[in-house]
Amino acid sequence: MQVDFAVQENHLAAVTIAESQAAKRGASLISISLYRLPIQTQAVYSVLLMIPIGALVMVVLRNFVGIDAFGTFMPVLIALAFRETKLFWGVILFTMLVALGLSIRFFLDRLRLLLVPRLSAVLIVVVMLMLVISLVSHRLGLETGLSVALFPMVIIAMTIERMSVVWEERGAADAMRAGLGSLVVAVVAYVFMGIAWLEHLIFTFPELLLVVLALVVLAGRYTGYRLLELRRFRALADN
Amino acid sequence: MLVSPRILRQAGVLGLNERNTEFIARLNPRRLYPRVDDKALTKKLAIEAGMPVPALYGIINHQGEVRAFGDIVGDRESFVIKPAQGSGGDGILVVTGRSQRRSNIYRLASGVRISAAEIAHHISNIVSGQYSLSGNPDKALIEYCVRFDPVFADVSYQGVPDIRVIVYRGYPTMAMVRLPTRASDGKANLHQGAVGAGVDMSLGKTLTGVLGNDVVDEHPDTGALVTGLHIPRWDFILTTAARGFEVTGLGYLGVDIVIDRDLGPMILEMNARPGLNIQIANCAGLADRLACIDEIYSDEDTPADRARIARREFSAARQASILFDN
Repeated sequence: MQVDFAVQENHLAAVTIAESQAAKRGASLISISLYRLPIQTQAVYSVLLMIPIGALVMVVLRNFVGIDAFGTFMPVLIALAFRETKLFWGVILFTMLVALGLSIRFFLDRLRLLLVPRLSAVLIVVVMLMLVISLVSHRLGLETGLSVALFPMVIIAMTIERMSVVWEERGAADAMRAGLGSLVVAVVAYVFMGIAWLEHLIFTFPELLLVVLALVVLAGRYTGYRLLELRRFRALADN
Repeated sequence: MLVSPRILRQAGVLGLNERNTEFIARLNPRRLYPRVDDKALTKKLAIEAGMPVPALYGIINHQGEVRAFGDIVGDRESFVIKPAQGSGGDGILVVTGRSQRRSNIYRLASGVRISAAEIAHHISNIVSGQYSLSGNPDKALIEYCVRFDPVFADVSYQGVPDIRVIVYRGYPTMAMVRLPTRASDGKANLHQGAVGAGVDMSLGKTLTGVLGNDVVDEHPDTGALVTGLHIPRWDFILTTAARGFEVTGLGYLGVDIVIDRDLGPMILEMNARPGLNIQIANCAGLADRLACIDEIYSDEDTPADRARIARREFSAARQASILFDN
């Protein structure tokens, strides 16, 4: 006979009290609390519920600041992966993966492949690179390298492809700028998605997502200048 | 480094967010986008409306037809290959000559030699959608390569200069000449490094230029002045641009026009999301001019009327005097 245990640390105190009080008063609303879900599902949702925060960060950085990034939600997904790798290693692994992938993508270019096979080839290369990075870092005794497996590989393959097209068409500077922009957004999103009290608050009161939704809708009607436009149009301020 | 938003507001500068929500989302219905995003369709509509466009040699619709490229080109010396749904000038190949001895070696506008096999690969990339806005499979257009008017000869580095006119509710609003540079690889798109020179709407004469986000008055490669060039057939250009509104139905439109030395002004393409650097090239904000058009708009104005109104309202001298009066 075998017994499996799954354990997750939960700070329930206030919530437990609320629950017991609700039970006394016979309130039924408490039965739809997230804390009633199985532990594994709770663990998944504690991560998923932070994605809207990442999206909000994305909205702010793109429409209020004006940072260029690849893909709409790619940085948020990267930020999600950073949660497992931790920031320092996350940035290093991500940069390594994209840089290696790009150089191999440029080599593939010589073979003149059709678009879909080429994308698939890049994807396969990304998977192999992830494997190599994990193996090498394990050999070196760096266990963080193993967590590279959590990077969203399809997203990274698409990023490499987009970046190489921008590189060819608009030059290395533009590609680097957008690549760096993506990384900056990912880091900022990671920082906000990792705020413990925010995570606890949203997990306990998921209705707070309505506030996030409201903020995003509000931002959608923002017609003012972006921060970087104040620099871009500086020549027009002289006259 | 940063400018106060209030100062930009006073200068009438239009920002990206405002352009997207107040103008593009309001005046450019999504269903009309294919008319400008698909260059094959744009060309067809323009021809039906009797507007001048570069002649189409052929269209390659799918991979199987890539080999037909040689037949379409025949023994033509120069031609342009472009994705039907490309954006920002990406994926455009300008072939300006052929090797004397080997007819399957071509020469690009940049002087680089390219083999027929490489061109075929490029076409196959276009067809598979590498340059298309949506990433969906695309078509490759092969068309007449414009021989540009000598007026721009000193201020272009390879490639073909063009004239971008912003047309708001059918009225030409602001214009600039886009001049290819070495950095832009012969392409006329500002974000690829081309120089944009503002245009005095009433006279059709170029003002100062913009390179990146900076004001310049010389071409970075040739060193010639970009200021004070007289654009030929300005009236015809403005009227043609104004007619772009009837052809597309888009209320906020960028019309790109090239001037061929033999065939005159022709519509190259149209754009539902024209960029904002045109404001830097003109040292003037778009917001004021858009508001001005909203005031004088009349749905009875013909394209010729609208071109005339643009010449009357948006002259550089008049703008300066308004500023002076304030």
